[in-house]
Amino acid sequence: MTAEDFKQQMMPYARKLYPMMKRILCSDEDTRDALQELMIRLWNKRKDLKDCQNLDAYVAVAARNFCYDVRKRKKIPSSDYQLEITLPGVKLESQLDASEKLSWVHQVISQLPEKYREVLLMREMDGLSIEEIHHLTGYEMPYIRVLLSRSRTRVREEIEKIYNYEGRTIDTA
Amino acid sequence: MKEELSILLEKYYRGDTTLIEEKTIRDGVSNMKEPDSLHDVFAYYDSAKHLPEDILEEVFTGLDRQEKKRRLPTWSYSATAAAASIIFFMMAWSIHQNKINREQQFALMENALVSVSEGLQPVEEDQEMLVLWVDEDVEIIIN
Repeated sequence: MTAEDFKQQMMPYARKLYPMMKRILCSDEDTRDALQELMIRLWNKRKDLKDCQNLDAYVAVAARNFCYDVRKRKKIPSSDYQLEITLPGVKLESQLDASEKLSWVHQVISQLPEKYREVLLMREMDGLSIEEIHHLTGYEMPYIRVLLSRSRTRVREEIEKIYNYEGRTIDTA
Repeated sequence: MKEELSILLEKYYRGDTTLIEEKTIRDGVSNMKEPDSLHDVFAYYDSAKHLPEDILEEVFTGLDRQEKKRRLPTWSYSATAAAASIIFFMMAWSIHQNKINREQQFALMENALVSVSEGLQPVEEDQEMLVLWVDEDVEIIIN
């Protein structure tokens, strides 16, 4: 396998795993370094990758474990869930309004119990399959579906509560 | 279309949708004219997917650099070993040559000194001798 073949094979994984890695490491710089180091490790193990039966799960698990190792090594505090909200392609005047709405969503998601939030974000942000989430978390697949169902429903209910409240506040004002 | 979306949404909230169905839901929600909370929720998820453009290039450029760096020691070890062998043989050859040269110089010097020494010796003159008597037991010679 040439370096170019490897790059073509791993590019989609790097793109897919970046948000999850950033959620664990909390900074762009650390995530960038970790992703680079992870790719070098995978390149060094490229002979094993050929025989890997579930490469998607293997790479995802390697990325997650590596990020937790980095977090431990660098003594990065396991702070609350944080996310830098960026809205590519949204006009500046719409940014404030849109950012406010996204902040409410963020607030709701950050208040979910950790395992609900973890599974929800793996599915919705990282686009991971149920099987990949199973490999990453160790939860059984039916349980993952239950967690997804509950977390999605809770997010919808909480957001609608906020919107109804905001709507009433604006109406009365 | 709306009915299909509504069925998919029920499935979505039960946690039973596939990734492809979820993509269909997202497309459907983004095309909805009336504002919906789900629209903002999906916008939130998408906002986190934004990956700085330069990152992937940088990550894989780093990989190329690392690979070159990794290759260098193999090459440099061989080169170093070859250079060390050459230097070793050159030194051994040089020591051997010096030894031979010293022996040759010593022999040359010795010969020269012998020649000088012989040159300094007075020439022995042939002395005339008068042999008076010679037999088996007695020899009488007069210088």
